[in-house]
Amino acid sequence: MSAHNIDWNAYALGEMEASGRRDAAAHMVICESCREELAEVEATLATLAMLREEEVPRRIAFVSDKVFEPRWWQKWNPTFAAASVLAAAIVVHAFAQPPVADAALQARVQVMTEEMQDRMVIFDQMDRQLKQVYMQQISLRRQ
Amino acid sequence: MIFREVEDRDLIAKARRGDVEAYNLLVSRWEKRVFNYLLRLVRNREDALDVSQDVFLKAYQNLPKLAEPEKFAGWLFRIAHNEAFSLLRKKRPESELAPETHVAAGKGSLLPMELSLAVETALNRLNEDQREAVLLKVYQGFKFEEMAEILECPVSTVKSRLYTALDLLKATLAPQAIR
Repeated sequence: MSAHNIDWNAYALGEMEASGRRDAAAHMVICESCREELAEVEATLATLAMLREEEVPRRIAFVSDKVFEPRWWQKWNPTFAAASVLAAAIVVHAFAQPPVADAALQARVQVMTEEMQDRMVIFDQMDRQLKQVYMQQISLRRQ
Repeated sequence: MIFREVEDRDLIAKARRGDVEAYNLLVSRWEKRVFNYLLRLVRNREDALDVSQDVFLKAYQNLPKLAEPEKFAGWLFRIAHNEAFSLLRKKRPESELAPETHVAAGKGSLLPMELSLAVETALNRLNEDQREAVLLKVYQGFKFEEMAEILECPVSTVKSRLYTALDLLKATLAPQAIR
């Protein structure tokens, strides 16, 4: 704010409403110190405008890029996966194994489900690594 | 600017209906502005690029929640602001130890490249809040009210940060100022 209570920053930044702007412009004609103050603000803004705009070094990966497509195991709902494992276990049990106690069957299913979940974690890790390699390749191609 | 807003609104509507290509186009239109804002804020190219990537993914995921498509720019920069400050908070000790750079000494006319470097150095000497206020106002052209929404603070705070920054820049850049 100037000594004459005029916000020259707002004026120079185009943030002053029309009536205030008109009053400020009229005041500037008769006040040298305010003219100097405005000139300083405008000079600073003009210097700031000299900052070079940088190009994006490599393009932002698009959501349609293959790298962002879910893998087949990611598309697989974990509940559905667990249910499938259970169904498979029942079928295998019915056709290939002698009858076993319910508790043993449940334990088996539990183990298979846990194994499947562990594999999904590994698949996810592989997927992340693949993404990193993909991004590095894009970067290298750009260079 | 008005045409840009209209086109953005159209692209946003298409993207919301599942048109991925429309969103990709939106990314192309905004990536340079977002990247430059982040670059000046986090002061590291790789970090700025990584955060830009996160910003556009987050924006895509949250596009259905954007209540007023005409405010896309402010909304996008708000995501960028949050992501940038999240990173800065994580890297705080490192950034505090970053060596301070000095404004090129000497008076008289400077080449555009030198002037750009002087401005960059002067901006780096501001604190993060002040620098961000300058970035949003001077380089991105947001209104005070829009900045207040992006930064989630009152307009008076926005003005205070910006005016303090301009005073500091005025003093630092005076020898190089274009008159």
